[in-house]
Amino acid sequence: MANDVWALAEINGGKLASISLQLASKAAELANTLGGASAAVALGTNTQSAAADLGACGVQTVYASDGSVYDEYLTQPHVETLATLIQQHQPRLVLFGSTNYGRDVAARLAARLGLGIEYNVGDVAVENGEVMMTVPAFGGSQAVKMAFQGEGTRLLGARPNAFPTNRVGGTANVENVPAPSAPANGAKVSGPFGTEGAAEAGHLGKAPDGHDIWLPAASRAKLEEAQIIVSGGRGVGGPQGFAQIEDLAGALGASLGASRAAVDAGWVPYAHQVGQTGKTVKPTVYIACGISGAVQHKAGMGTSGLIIAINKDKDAPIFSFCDLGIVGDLNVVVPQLTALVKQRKGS
Amino acid sequence: MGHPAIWPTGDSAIGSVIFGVLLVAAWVAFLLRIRKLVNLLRLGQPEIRTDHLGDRIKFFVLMVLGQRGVLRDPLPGIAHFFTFWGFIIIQLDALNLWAIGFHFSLPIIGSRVFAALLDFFVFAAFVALIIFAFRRLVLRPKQLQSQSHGPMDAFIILGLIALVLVSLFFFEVFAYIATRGEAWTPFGALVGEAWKAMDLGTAAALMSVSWWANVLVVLAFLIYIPNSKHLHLLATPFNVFFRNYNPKGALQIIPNIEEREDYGVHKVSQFTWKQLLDGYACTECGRCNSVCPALATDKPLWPKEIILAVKEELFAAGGMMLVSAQEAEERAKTQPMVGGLIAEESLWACTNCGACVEICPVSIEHVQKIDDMRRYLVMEESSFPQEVVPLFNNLERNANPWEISNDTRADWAKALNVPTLAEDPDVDVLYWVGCMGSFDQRNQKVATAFAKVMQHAGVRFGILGPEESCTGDPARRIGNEYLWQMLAQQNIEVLNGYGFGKGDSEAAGSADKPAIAADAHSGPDGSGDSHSYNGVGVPPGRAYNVKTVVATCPHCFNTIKNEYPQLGGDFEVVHHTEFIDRLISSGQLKVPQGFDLRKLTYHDPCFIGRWNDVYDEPRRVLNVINSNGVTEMRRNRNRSFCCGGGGGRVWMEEKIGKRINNTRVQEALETGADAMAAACPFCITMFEDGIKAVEAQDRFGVEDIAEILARALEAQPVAAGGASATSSSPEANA
Amino acid sequence: MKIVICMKETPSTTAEKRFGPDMRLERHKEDAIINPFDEYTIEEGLRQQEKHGGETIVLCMGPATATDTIRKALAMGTDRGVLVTDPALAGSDAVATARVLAAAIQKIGFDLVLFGSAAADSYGGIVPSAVAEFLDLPLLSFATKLDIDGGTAKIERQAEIGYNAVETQMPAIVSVMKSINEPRYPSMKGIMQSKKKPIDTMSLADLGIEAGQVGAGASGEKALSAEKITTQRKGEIYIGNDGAAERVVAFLVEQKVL
Repeated sequence: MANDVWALAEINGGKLASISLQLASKAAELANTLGGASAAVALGTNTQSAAADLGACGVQTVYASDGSVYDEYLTQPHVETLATLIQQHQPRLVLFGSTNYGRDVAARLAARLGLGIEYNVGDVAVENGEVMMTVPAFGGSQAVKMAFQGEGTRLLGARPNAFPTNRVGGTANVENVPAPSAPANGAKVSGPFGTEGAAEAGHLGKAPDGHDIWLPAASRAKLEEAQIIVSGGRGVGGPQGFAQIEDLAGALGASLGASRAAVDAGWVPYAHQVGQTGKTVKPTVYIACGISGAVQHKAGMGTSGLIIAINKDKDAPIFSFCDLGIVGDLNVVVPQLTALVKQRKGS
Repeated sequence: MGHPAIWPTGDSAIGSVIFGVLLVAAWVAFLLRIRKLVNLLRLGQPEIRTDHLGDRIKFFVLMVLGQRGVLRDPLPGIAHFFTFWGFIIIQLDALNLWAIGFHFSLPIIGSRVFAALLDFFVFAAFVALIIFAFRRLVLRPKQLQSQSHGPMDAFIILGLIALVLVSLFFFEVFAYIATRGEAWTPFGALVGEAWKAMDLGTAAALMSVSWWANVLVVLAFLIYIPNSKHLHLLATPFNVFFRNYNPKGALQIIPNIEEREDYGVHKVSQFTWKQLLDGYACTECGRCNSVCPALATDKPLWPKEIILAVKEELFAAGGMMLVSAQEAEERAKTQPMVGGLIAEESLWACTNCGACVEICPVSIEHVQKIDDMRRYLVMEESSFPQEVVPLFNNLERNANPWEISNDTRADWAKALNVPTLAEDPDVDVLYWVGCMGSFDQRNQKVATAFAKVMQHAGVRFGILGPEESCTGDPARRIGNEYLWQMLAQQNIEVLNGYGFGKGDSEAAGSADKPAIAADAHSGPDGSGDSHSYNGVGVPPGRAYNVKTVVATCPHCFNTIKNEYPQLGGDFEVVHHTEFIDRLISSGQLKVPQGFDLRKLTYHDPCFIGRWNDVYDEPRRVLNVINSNGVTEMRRNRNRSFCCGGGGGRVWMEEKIGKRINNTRVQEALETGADAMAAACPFCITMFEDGIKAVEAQDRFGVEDIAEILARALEAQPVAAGGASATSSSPEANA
Repeated sequence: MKIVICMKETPSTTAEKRFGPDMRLERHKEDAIINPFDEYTIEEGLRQQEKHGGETIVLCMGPATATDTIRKALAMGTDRGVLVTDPALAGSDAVATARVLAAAIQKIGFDLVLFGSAAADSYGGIVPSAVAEFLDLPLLSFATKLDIDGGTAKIERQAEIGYNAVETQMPAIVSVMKSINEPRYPSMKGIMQSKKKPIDTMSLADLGIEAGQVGAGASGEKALSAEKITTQRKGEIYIGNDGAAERVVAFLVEQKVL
């Protein structure tokens, strides 16, 4: 009881998000270390299938609550169910993802039950029976070691990909929990929407022969919010070259960026421009293809988490502020990279 | 002309009375109009334009009486010279003709000598008139095709002038016949001799007709001129007299900015009276349009139309203000000047290159007006290109245009052993690096090259590092005067704190602190002349005074030199091209002659060229290091064509028309040069982009003069003039 | 419509950041700015006010010196400011902060409460949802567009995959993303007028909150130590086309991106 570790799974429209497996794997490992039981909570539709996947990652129990109310309303139904479960079972630690979904749910839960909460955790370790967390601060320039204080259940928000997925095999004991009724005053999802914003993010403009070029995945994040950006510059060579950049972005689920030179040349619309006179972005990963990296471009992306540069000019300024620089021909490297990413994501 | 039978108004008084009534009526109409024009000017803000009185008079004589401005363009220039003087002589003669109407003649003007002079100028003006008509009808230069006026106005005036000349000439001819050759008018006499057979009565009658035709046309002129575009005939001399005597490169300050209630200009009454007078003075010659880089690349900016729009607005809105302030306020709401007659996008298209101001023959100041209206848009309306917002925010927060910590400003110089003033305040020269040199990797190379040049020459110099803030130039040029004042004040405090204020430099320059380390001092001593940069005296044999600020960025240079004095900052500041030139000519820096074998062209940056008249220094340096000397572009020196980056344009998107930088790169390529030398970080940035855009990067490049020089020096490490390579670091000289 | 705009004061994004001995951020007044995410919040509040009328109130919890930062929000055009400041608040965690803000919002009264999606110093994104809980209202989170039509607030929301339309009854609490608008630059008039606009301060006592409920002592977690990670980029350079794609994938896996 006192040392139980749970994972809050994330189900979007009946599909289990990959972070759920990372959290479940870690929950199983931590519970083992602390000498408690491990569990996962699956709220949404298609939870039985999710429970099987979560069990395979080593959790002993899955609290599954199946109901369309979880898809129809933001946050509140999830918090209702979780609050009841936590009060019933008093786990020591609940792992959630530092995602939009995870943060909304955990914050509300913490406020309702008075629970301690930590987020953006990059690593967790148990030292002398204490849970120790490493949290990056100030845009990653410092790492802060944190511990919980006080009593009661603690909520721990992990960064996506902070923990590896560990398919140890196994089957969880599924406990079905009833779904709550719709909240009297809730945030109701009135439907998916993919027209206006997605059009801006997905429309690449017109090819020289006049036909529209669209990103294959029309639902990618707008540049300002994107976690991964693949960006092309003059080195891409032309609108056709941008098709390769677009393929890579598609494979990574990334948004498409461009330097001013590429926009000025008319290869990409202005909405994609990154830099001093375009958009300022701060993704986790910025992949610059054929961009030299003059200060006007750096101004828009210099604070990105990781910068990967592909450029054939070894003297390009961007190689002095990247994390990984590839001095090579993007026409060769980018298609290979796209194929490898697709292969890996498919596995 | 004493014979009573030939008074053109006849023997009785009736003719004289009729003429008298007409004369008075015309003058009343003229003076009423002038009064209104003056009252309209008085709507403008006060501005002192009577400083430098001696210079003003001298310039007035040269430009107005000597017609020097228009003579730069020979064919229309000479024609204009004769029209102008013909006009003056004819006006003087008109006085005599009027006197004749009252049956008497004036001394001097009525004399035979004057009559001969008149005769010559009537002929010359007539020839000039034919040249003008030929130019307008046949040559039709682009700048004369006005946006706002048809050619009618021009033909009315040419026709009227022709009438004056013809009537005057026939008056001479018939007077010659009627008085039997008493007048002394060679051309008139020529025709008069041919028609000698005419009887006296006919001649007198025709003389009378000619006289009436002439006085009536001249009186019509009197009324027509101040009511037409030819108002410039009256206003131009005043405009030239009241021209700007502040430093050319300085925009006017908004004093007490925190206590004001309005900022910049959106109503004509917010312009100064002199800015309004510019509108009267505009001759619509269109030279400004013909040199505007924005217009040349199809952007919606016509400098002439801005000036004329201000004039049109003055007549409309200002005219209403004279009648009813309330109605004028109402009108301002429904028909604003900015956004109405003057489109916002026109104002944002300007690169502040100053080509229009430089070429204007009648001393009109276009750029100040454009920036005044930008000030209104930025500070009152917060309406400006969205992409500029990060610039303003970063200048406020980080003292540089980017989201980069200003603490890292000196990082570029780490490997060079250049001290900051905080580390070593006891230096002779402060190198003002600027944001581009400090943070932009391309321009860090320029800063590094210039630092090496100074080390080579044994100059004891330092930088400010994190204590240097953006000078504020981009903010000011875009219209954010407030931000400029904040940044400028900060910099002035820092510079004064290190003793760079001019008041301090006297003390600092005392004998115990020689300007140049003794061993670096073996130039041809005592050769005589003291040299000067822009009027600042430097002792013979020395390249610079102590406590000199040297900037590689023309924009930093211009604002510190010309604009910081408005806030009490008075510094000796030179551009690095001037500084290098002085290092070489004083003998402190020996440079391998003709080291660079490429064919080089040179681009004059607007902010050292046109705004500060630094043309020769960079060329002299290039002529030493380069074996071929400078191959000039079609447009060079004060006619140089902007890179497109000034006036804050480098911080904005260029979405309309062709790109200015590409246009200039093409022009450079036309010279057949291998590379372009430049002297401004923004020009370099614009041209690097332009060279790639026209795909010339494999055969053409752009380099700062300091880079070319540093390469030459590195190839010949044995230093000149005693500043040996081993003692070239500041430490070695300390 | 009464619009409460919640704003945080954060250190400048380029300022040197250090923890003090108490493991709290050392704050230097001159480096303080409006949390960059909140510039979008303020802009959205102003745009809603322009559409629907009413009043915009900037609410900030922070040190007494935060009035300078509030003035910047007032310069953008908001009507008045409220600063919740109390020595006991120092070291409050996200939940305690939410408790205080909720009480202040309640006291001010509201039709619409706006938050940024996170703060640039903590990147938590926890506070808006916790405030919604304390106020017992739903949260329209991560909005990329906000429309208020009569009694309904409707957003376009960036979900984990794609976008959703989400709506709720007024009064509403909304957190906004950067792509929702382009924040304005304050005009000179705005700056001058901001000097005359009122900023009220509230203490814990004014809000009826016990000091023990907030501050470092009440926090559910505490920082033990901070280690400066080198901010230098890794700067690994791989030359050649062969194996380059493999190296990028391996790097992305090492960095836990893939």
